[in-house]
Amino acid sequence: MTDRVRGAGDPQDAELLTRWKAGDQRAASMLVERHADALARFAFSCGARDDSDELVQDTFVRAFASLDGFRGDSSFRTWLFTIERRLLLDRRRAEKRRPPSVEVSEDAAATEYDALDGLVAGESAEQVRAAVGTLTPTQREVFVLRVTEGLSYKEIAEAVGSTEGAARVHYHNALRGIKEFLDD
Amino acid sequence: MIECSNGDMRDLLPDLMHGRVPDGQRLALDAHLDGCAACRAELALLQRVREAARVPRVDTDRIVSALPPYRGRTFLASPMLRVAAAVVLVVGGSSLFLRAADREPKLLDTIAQASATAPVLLLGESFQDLSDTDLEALAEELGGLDGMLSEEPEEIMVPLEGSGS
Repeated sequence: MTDRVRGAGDPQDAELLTRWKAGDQRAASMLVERHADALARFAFSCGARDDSDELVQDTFVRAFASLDGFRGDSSFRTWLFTIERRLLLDRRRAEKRRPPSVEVSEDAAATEYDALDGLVAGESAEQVRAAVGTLTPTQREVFVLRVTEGLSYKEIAEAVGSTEGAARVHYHNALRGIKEFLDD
Repeated sequence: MIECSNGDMRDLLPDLMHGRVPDGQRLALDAHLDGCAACRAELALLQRVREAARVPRVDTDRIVSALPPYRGRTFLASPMLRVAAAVVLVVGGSSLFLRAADREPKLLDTIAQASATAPVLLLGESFQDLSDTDLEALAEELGGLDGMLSEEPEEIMVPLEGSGS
């Protein structure tokens, strides 16, 4: 997998942000280049398959509009994940309100989604996606950030508003769930 | 799938994929992987997960064109600054008013007098609280108020140049 740049904790981000604030538009392009793929993977893996591009764009627009709120306590990429996750949650809530039928819990929604996915899962990648899809939303977020993006438990805790210990538990529960799904 | 009981080593497997294993632990992890089939299988699974997360390249130009321009930090961006500005306005405004009142004692009298002589309409919480009689009285009072000037303003005559008058 070729990521355009290793982003988490990269000191170049701070420099690019400074340049953008000074009016250098190319710095914004470089920041987007550095992190767009990671945000798209996160969106896609967390279920935003049809509109991951839109979600990535919304994340950047919101981030750049509120850049003065970024204190640099976490890496820029972790902050972007935090924003994207909030947007994802907003969409999930909006989707839940939309159907007039029975209200389903997050866990149940994930299971329904993946039962359907499992039917069409033929090749290995689809099977793995289906397995990831069986996870609860929080497990999925933590697992994707850990495995796909390589974030530490500390960074994940910052992104999902949790603790390192909780992130670790979510990761191992997710891994166990995926193994069980694939073993069946 | 059998799981390895060494949680510390298992926790390092995602870091190994991303080249983030701390130097001091790399040798121990390599040695552990050589002898642990469960961790090798888990690492292979994690790599499958990572591969499965591939997505088409994002159109970054479209994103960049949608970005807002940087506006910089506004003076009242911080909530603390907003509170401080409100305090300055209230304190400053009050002190200016009191100083003006000291210089011109008549000012307070004038305000009090104006309040006392201003036409007052007694209303309840809403028009629904008023009885029919009250509404009629209110209509009469409103009719008695004169919103127009009591006198026509005097005409201002501007002599035209060269008119000879």
